[in-house]
Amino acid sequence: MTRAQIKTDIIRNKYIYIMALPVVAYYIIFHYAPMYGAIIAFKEFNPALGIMGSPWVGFKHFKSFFEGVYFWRLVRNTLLISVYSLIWGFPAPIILALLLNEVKNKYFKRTVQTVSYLPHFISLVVVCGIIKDFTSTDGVINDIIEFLGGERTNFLMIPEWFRPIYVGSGIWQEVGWGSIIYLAAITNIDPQLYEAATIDGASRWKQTWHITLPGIVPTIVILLILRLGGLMSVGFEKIILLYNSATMETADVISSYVYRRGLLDFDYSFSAAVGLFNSVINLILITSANRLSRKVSETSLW
Amino acid sequence: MKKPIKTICFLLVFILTVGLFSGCSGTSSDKTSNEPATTDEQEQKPAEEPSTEQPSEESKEDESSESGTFALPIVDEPVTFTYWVPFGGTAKEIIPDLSQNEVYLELAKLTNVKIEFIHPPEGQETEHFNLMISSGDLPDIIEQGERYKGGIDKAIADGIFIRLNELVDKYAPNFKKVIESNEELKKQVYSDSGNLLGFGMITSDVPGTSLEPTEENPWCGPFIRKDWLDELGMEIPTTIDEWYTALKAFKEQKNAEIPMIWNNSIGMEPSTGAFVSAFDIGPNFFIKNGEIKYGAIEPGFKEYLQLVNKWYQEGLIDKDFPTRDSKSIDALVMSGKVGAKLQDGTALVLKARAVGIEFAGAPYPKKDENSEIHWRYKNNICRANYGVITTKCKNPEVAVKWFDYHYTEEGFRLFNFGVEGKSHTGIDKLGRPQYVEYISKNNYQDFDRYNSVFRLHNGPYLKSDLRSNPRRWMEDLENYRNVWDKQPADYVLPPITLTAEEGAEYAKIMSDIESYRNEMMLKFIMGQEPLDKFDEYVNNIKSMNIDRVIEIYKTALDRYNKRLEKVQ
Repeated sequence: MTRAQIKTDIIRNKYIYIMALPVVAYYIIFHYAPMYGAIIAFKEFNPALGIMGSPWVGFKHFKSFFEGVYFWRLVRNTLLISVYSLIWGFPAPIILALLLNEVKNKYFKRTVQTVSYLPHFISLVVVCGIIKDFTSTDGVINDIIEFLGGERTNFLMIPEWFRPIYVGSGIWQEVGWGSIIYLAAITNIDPQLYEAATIDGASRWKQTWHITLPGIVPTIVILLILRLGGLMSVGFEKIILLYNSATMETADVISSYVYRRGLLDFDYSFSAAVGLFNSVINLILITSANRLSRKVSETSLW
Repeated sequence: MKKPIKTICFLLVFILTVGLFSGCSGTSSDKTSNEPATTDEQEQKPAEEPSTEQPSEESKEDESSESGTFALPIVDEPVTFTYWVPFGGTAKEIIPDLSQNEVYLELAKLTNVKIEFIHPPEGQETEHFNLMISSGDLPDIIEQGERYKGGIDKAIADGIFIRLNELVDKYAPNFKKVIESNEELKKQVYSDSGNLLGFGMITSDVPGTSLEPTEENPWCGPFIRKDWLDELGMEIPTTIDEWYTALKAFKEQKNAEIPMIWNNSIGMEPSTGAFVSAFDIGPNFFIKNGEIKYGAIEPGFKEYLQLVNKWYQEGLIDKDFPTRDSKSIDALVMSGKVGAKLQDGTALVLKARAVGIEFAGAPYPKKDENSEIHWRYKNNICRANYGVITTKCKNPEVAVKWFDYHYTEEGFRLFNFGVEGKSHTGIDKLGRPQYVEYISKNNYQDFDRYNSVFRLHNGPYLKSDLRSNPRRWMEDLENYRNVWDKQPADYVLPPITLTAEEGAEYAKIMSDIESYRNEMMLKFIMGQEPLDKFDEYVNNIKSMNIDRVIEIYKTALDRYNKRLEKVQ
């Protein structure tokens, strides 16, 4: 495109450019400009000297993270929690959407939808409070276990239980909300396909398997790629609300470690280094997932 | 179709307005329900006015006034300082921030210096402080300057706080007199490089009218159910065996759900060290025969773990302790399910008494009749809380003078006892204020509620808990503290400070060691790891470089002992 072409393009589509401007400005100001702050990962950040004035230390912080006693545990925990969330949490909304799609009673369908996506709006602090209450020694779950003849245990004190609780409560909270996008995708499927299938004598199960599911595969793939890009990032909020010293060995993830070291111990440079390392891994993951998907299914983000 | 929408709109507006009003009435009823707040409101206006009415003759020029004679107001034209300090607790139910505190209202009137308070959200003090420092958006004055990572020396070197030595010499004769009066105190308020750390909370724990700086006796220690002991015909336990018998009896004969509870979730008491200190160690770093040691890797710690592991298995210790927070611990104690609490202050006794439960302070448990503890909670004469002045402050000399007033005779009375005529009617022969009815009613049960409303509990001033806190006048409660006070505390480290580099190294090493120790401690106690693995655990901590931290402490202690040479 020559300069003249760009000029005419801008003049011709000026309203579209104006409309895009705020969004572009938003990304530049709030997402790209602060990125220069990431250089403190290579510096010994000192508030008095500022980001630019602080002395360079090279890869010191990266080295001390990689050599730290908790490095492998943090990576393992982060990946495991992420992978479990993916394996159990990713199909859940798809299944819910497919099931809801088969429900013919309008009112029942709407009720289920509303009830299932309501937890999404509950603040995480409250959700974790509920989880703590339910799983404590005198909580509801233990009441049931005791009634069935079992023994009371405090689930949040047992390392093996941390991941199931984390993943399970995550599914409970997000399954309804996640299904909305699939339901929308399902409505886009041409009804003629179903009619033709019915005439051919396809059962409901066959219809779901051969029409509905293939119809939403592009959506599933895109969401999966996005999900894979975040494989190394597990939000610290829910972790720090649920963990304690007893469950550290399965619960402590990279982001909660960054939170403790950075905000509580005031070691910003170290946390920035860990965060940067995390982002680099995520970038690698998302690009390779995208490339793989383009080869295999011809659907991709870019 | 139109009507329902209208009705819904109307309802929504109605609900919103009602919400608005109820919000307002809520605060106003709060204000009328207790006396100090209403008097605050009346006093607020005059507090602002005198500045214009009295162009005081004693102007700010006559500097370095002799101690004792303090020229008021400090400035003719009102000066405003921004002031960062954590604030919360029960006082927050009565006043929204410290500017409504009677002491500060009176102080503003007297000195013509107005304080604009910045309070961090409760529970997020550390994050708020660190973010405030790194954003560079500093207030004029910071209380608890010791929060600065790397210490106050570093903050001064970094150009965040200003050095106070010269300003204090010139403008704060009263404060200077206080810190010069006691060698031990002097060591505590100067840094290793000779900087004055700030305007600290200096304690004076002597009866009568003396303002002599002295160490306050320990405010916390272990507590046990006295009423149960009496019913069982038992004495207050002093040794581990006696404790075991008592706790066992609580469980079996009193059906105590939780015979013994910790005040935290890690598996020991880091502040009191109850039961840890029975084994000739301290809970963290301690000094024995001039040598620095880390409690968690000493042989005594294994004995401690064996003990609590056994007690945990026998159900004598709270089963759910790793997930407890202070609220749930409080609720359990007050519902009478708990037989002993290993760390609290004497306020617990009064609080429990109100619901028909009687607690008694027990001496720190000893291993047996013939042994002695060497570590317990111990107060320093200066209990930090350093008021420091930042480089953003435009007139530091006014701020220094303002702080100096805190350490005068009048300032002492104001900060400790509140405003005469409002909180108390006068001082009695023992040097104690005669508190007015709303504070003293029901045997001072509401004292804690008003403690940070009519006086200041923690802050940069010369604090006399003994003379201002009515709990200290109650013989039984004071006895508990005296019993603790008589126990030896020769393993306790003095308030040493680390340099910035040492601090960074310390943080790097210790944050990993502490999380490892806490994890392993829980596993040992709950029986998930056998105690045979204790040696392996010690070796792991050693390989995490604990020796380097001990070395850091050693050099810091040497510097501490040589502090006074630097000040001269």
